[in-house]
This record gives sequence, C-alpha cells and structure tokens, in this order.
Amino acid sequence: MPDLGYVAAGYLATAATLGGYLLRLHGRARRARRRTAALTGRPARR
Amino acid sequence: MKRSERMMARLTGRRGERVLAGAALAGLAASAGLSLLVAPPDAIQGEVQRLMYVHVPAAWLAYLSFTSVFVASVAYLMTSRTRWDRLAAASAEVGVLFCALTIVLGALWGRPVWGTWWTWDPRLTTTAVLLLVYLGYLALRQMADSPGRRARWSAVLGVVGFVDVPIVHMSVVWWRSLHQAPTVLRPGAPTIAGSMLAALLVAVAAFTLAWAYLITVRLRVGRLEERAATQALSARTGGRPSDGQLPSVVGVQGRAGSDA
Amino acid sequence: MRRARTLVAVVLLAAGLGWVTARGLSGSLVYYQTPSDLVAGRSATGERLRLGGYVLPGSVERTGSSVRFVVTDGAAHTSVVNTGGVPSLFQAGQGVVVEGILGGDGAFHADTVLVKHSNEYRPPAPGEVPGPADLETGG
Repeated sequence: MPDLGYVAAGYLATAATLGGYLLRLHGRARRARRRTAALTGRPARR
Repeated sequence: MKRSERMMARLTGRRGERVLAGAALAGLAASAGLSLLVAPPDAIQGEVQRLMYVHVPAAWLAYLSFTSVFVASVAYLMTSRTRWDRLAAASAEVGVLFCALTIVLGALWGRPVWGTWWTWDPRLTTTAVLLLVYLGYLALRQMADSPGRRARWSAVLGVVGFVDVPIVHMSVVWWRSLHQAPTVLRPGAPTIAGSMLAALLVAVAAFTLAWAYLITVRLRVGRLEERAATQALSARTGGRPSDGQLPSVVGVQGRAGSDA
Repeated sequence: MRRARTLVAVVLLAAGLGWVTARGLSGSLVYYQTPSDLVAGRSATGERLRLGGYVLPGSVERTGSSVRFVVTDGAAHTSVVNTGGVPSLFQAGQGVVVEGILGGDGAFHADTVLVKHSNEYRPPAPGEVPGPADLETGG
C-alpha cells in the first residue's frame, strides 16, 4: 500500500468513528423517546 | 438554581448543542485542510507522517476522557450525586472509542514507518491495558444490580483505573520502547517544526470541541434512557413516576429492542 | 466523614497498584537488549530476543535476500544478519529494533527489523525529497 493509502485509511477511520458514534447515539435517543412515549401515552420531553 | 447550573443547562440545551456541533464541524474541516494540504510532509517519513494529526488528537481525547471519568468518579464518591455518575459513564464510553481509534491509527502509522502493525512495546502494551480497563468499566456498569451500587463500584474503578493514564504517557520515557518519546508534552521545547506544530494544535483544539459535543449528546441520551427505564419500572410496579430528579435504573445502558 | 475515608482508601489503593505495576514492568518487561547488555552476557544464546540500537554507518551490506549490518549503542557493537525484509526507512544511522536469536558465533540472526524513528518532525529542506531515501542509496 502506498503511503497515501495509509493516510486515507486513517482519516476515513477517524471520520467513520465520529460519524458512526453520533448515528448510534441518535438511534439510542430515538428508541428511548419511543419507549417513554409508549409507556406514558404522550410524547416524551427531551 | 445557581447561576453556574443555569449556564451549564444553556450549554447542554438543544441550542447550545447545535452551536457546539457547528463549531466542532468547522474546526474539524479547518484541521483537515491544514493537516492534509497546508502542513508540509515530513522530511524523513514523507506523506505518511500526516497520520500524526489524527493519531495524537485521538490519544489526547482518550486521556481527556479518562481524566474526566476520574474527576467525576471522585466527585461522585464525595457527593453521591447522580449527575457525576452520568458524566463518568458518558466519558468512559467516549474514552473507549478514542482509545480504540488511537490504536487503529497507530497501527496504520506503524506499518509503513516501523515496519509492523503491532509490537508488545511498553507504550502499546500499556495502551492496550488502558482499553481493557475501561472496557471492563463499561462491562461493570452493565452488570451491577442496583443503580446505587453501579455508581459506587464504577466510581471506585474510575479512580483506580486512572492510574494507567500517567503510566501510558510516561512509558516511553521510563522504559525502552519502539514508540518515540513525546514531541510536545515534554520538558523543553517541542521537537517539531512550527508549521507542523500549528497544524497539530489546531487538530487538538478541533478534536476537543468534537469531544465536548459528543459528551453533551451522550449525556442527553443517558437522561432519555434513564427516563424510559424509570417509566418502564413504574409501569411494572404500578406506581407513579416522580417528575423531578429521576433515579437511575438497572439495565438502561444502550439496551435496545425492549420497546413496548 | 466515612465517605472521605473511603475516598482516601481508594486513592491509596490506586497509587499502590500504580507503583507495583511500574516496578513490575521496569523489572521484567524490557522490550529490547542493547549491544552492551549482550556483551555483559545477560542474555542466553539461542533464545529469541530483541536487540535495539543504531545502525552503524558504513556497515550495511546487502547480499541477495539478506542484509548484514552492525548495531551499536555507542559503547558496544553487535553484528546482525537479517534474512527478513527491512522497512523503507531503514538506513545508516537509523535507530532499529531487530528480533531474532543470538548465535554462538556472536552474531545476531534476525528475521525482523523494526525502525525506531525519532520524535523530531521537520519539513524537507529546499531541494530535499521528502520520504524514505531510495534503498540503493540508503546504505
């Protein structure tokens, strides 16, 4: 692999880590809100 | 409400969150431009040295996260306030993420420069131990059977586990290693050209902003999950959930699929 | 008060653990031996170990698939015969860690060469080509 391949892989891994974790947190927030709404019958506050 | 708490609330409110997200994104974009386009390649290593501008900030964020776990754990042991436990949990999760990223980026840098993806040198070994300690911390949080016990046990581990952080940093000074000694966080002047140091400092600042944003979002998710778990518990026991300070409840950490 | 005492106990425990770990690591976890260590006879021949130091300028000889060079720590020298490849940053004067076996002939028979680069970073000088030097001129 040429040098730039390692650099590209590293920067992509960094972006994927940040983006992937944010997406995951987003999913967790949505599921929690849905669970609360289902239990109380009204939309949950933030 | 004290003024400091009101400031905190504004910072962690949805609007503060968006401002923080914008600042982090702008910072990361500027940092990427500086690191990939403006900073010169290294005379010895060539282009591959640009990995420093992500590897070092990632390691810095791992240190910062575990320091945050330590401070929050001490504060929890002293005050027993749930908010400190929440901060410790959020910091540990983010710290594990960046510790793992540091190792991956180090491997990508090590292969072309050292000639190996991995070796059991003191810096790499102590960093692997660091990752394991905080993976253990997250596992402990999943296992504890009551919120109070979970908070106490994990606070103790959050204090004890922090011991490895200075060991990781000093490992390259104390012992013979393949990993090079510190470039910036060392006694004496940094051993790096000014244009490269500038790019590195911008990267560290941008990553720190991104860290603050991730912690803020993770804290909000933690509150939402606690609320959902409290509601589930009160639905089962038939009681009414109290609306003020919600006690944390077992098994909220990232549990999916139990939607009613 | 009880809380404060718990905290003190936990901190003391942590400090003790750190001290023990540090002592334990420095005693038993030596990543590489130096040529001086080998001269002092602290390592058995025939045992797999790592040797660290600098590549003595002018000592690099390439013959077929193997590379011979001398590793020095300033005080002592060890001849190395390496049959594995070398990283592109390998060159005279470079810090290296080699893995292999100390032979009865006093030479170190290595199959792995790792480059230990310095913590110094600088842009290339005007006219200097950045990156690893060409293998042919690297010796």
